[in-house]
Amino acid sequence: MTTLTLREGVPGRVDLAGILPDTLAGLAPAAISTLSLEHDGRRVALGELFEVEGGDPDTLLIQCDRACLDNLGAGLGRGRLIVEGPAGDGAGRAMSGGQLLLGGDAGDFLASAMRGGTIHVAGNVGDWLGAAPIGERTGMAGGVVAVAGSVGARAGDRMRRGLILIRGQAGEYCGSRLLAGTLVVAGGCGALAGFGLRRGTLVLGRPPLHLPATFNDAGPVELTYLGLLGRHAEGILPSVLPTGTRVRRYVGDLAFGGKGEVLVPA
Amino acid sequence: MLRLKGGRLYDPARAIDGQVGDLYLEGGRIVAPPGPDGVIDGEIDVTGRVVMAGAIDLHTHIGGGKMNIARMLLPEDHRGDPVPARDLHGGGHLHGGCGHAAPATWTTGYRYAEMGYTACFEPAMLPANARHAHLEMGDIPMVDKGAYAMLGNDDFFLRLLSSGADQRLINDYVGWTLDATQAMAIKVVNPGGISAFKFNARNLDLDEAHPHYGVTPRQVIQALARAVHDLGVAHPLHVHASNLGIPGNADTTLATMAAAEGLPIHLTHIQFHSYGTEGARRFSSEAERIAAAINRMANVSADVGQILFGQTVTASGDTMGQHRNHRHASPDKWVVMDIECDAGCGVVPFRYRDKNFVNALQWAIGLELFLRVSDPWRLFLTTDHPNGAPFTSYPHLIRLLMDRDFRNGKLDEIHAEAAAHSQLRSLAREYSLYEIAIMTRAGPARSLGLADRGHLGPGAWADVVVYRDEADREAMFAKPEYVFKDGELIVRDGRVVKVVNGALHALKPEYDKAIEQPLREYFDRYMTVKMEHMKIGDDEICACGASKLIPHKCGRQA
Repeated sequence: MTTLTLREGVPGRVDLAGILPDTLAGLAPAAISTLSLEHDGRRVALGELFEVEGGDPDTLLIQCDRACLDNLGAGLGRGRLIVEGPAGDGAGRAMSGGQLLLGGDAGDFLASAMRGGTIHVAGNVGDWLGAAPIGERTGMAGGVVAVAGSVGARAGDRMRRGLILIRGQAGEYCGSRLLAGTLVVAGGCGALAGFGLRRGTLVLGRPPLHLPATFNDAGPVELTYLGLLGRHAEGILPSVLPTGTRVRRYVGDLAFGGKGEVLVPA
Repeated sequence: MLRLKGGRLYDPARAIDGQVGDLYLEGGRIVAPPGPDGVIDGEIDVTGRVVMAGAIDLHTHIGGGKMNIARMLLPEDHRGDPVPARDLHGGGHLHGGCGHAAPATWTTGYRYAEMGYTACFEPAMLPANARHAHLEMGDIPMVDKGAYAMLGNDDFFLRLLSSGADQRLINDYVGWTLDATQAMAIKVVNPGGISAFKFNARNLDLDEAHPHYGVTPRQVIQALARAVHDLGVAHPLHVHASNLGIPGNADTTLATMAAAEGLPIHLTHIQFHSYGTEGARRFSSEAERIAAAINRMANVSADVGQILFGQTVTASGDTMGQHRNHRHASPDKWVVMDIECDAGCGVVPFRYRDKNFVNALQWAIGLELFLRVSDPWRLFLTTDHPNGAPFTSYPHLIRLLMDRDFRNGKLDEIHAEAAAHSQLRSLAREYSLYEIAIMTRAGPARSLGLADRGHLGPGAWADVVVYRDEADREAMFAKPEYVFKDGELIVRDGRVVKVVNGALHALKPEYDKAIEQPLREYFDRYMTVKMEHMKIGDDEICACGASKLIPHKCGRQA
């Protein structure tokens, strides 16, 4: 395992885009230290900010004590990146494979434009989880994100494929403008869940406080695929889906085509 | 006094074509060789190097509102091209920035200087947006700036014209606009067409009456060209002609040239206006006819607006044209808007592809125009940044013009049918360094009436660029060895070593201030601001960030 430990007292923010198991493979610690990073908008040597320890290149461990590292695991294609400590914004951005394990909280835009791979978060996550990067039109398009804690607003915004599992709560506008894919929130969510939902599924462990007026109550239904989804999710984040396959189904958002669904326990 | 010793000078304003000579710089200016008593404190040996005046871009969209809209529309353009901040050895630092097609203001200035440019002119400043334009240009370091005020689609002017107002009144209004907005020239974009778009017209030909005012684009051009001429503005009326981008528009372009009736006229990004309708795809090159007309008509000048392949963003005041183009937006998002009834604005991201028939032919048409127009004093090197390509592609464009084998190599890569349609391969012309110096230095300076820029004669401001004479002209023009701005070394080996602010060029025309009476009443009655608020004072220019205001008198030049 290769280990990067953030030095004490490093101020400002550090952009870790491109620091991945693959890019470090075959490099000795001294060579890794000379890689250049953007620190507060300036290029600096990685060694100035991190202590480097060499090891098995397939796993990269990054240790930090404050949430100043942005774009952790951005573009990850294979291998494993473990973060001990809080992650900044943009973690797992445009990830296409591999595993990103975040031991603490994560900031905004986690898994933004992700296409494949798996992200596990032990703590809470900021806003725009799995959303489209600013200026782009589609969010997360594949892969799995499992969050043990709660998430902020706009989780799954413009998501178009893949699976997001949240054990805690989600903020307002959860699943907004979602194009396709599945978003599961066990602990309930804020106002206007599913706003602008086009297709795809929101599975809520608790009935929402209120849905947009453009959702239609389609009554209780039996959906066998929920059993399959439950078994699949069990291996990723246990007991996050409600047990059973009978749910109440709301169809919407009727202002945006209305092919999506919000499922709550019947 | 600094001596640049033994360089090969290319100074077309004084007909110096590669002769070896020394240059002397003192007090920010180029001075005559000192006598034997002269004290020379510094000397740089530039033997074998190519020495030219600082380059001048007379048509580049670097300010004025559209760029901010483009920046807001394209965050990915910024994410994809970050520029870290950098400390300078002599103290000071370069700001961080970003952006490929619509770079940040700071990045714009650094990149221009790093290519040897020392002055840039924003060609589309709406009077209603002038204060913003000056603030934005003031934020662009390194180069001198100037702007052309846009008229011809504004309600006040169209009312004047349709009521049959005396030409003297129009002259006064044009003079007032130049003065109030601190502009360097007058531009008209799709004459009358931007306004007609708001009255639901989707096309307006040169002799088609505006649906509301009843005047034609021809009348607009004639009234403005006359006003610019009568006021003694050095730069001719800068015309973005009707029917931009439409197959068959070459006829309109030729008719527009003729409409000037012998008065000076500058046709901008003429590549977008040189299209025919021949062939199975009803899209063909009319570069030959357009170039022949320019060669024939001494009152006409043009800049090319070359396209180069890749991602960019098109930003234009031509609401009508941009609305038509929005279906080609790539990525698929766009903005078209009215601005204070003054004119409009359209921003459409665009990706030019070499395997696309139309794009490939556009590329060939631009190059054909460069090679077919014989007088480089009347044709200027532009990509209409960022509409045809970002300005950072100029060195590549220069190589295409100077190196026939390179050009033909690229021609082999583009859409084969487009290559076959074009006569580009048969054009053997290769631009010389002297001709490049004309079309990027001496020509623009003369066209804009900048007497002490764009040349290396004694008395000129010491904007001097030293290039290594490399066979690869792209590498050569991308990375000058030295760039001096007003005598100060600002770039070494293609990297900024000192940050300067750059001044603002503005005209000070003479006109009858009585025009303010009807204008004040008009603003009070119809507009959202008072007339007085439109006016930008001389003291504001430096407050906006320019190092100084360089006033220019109007007057007929011999």
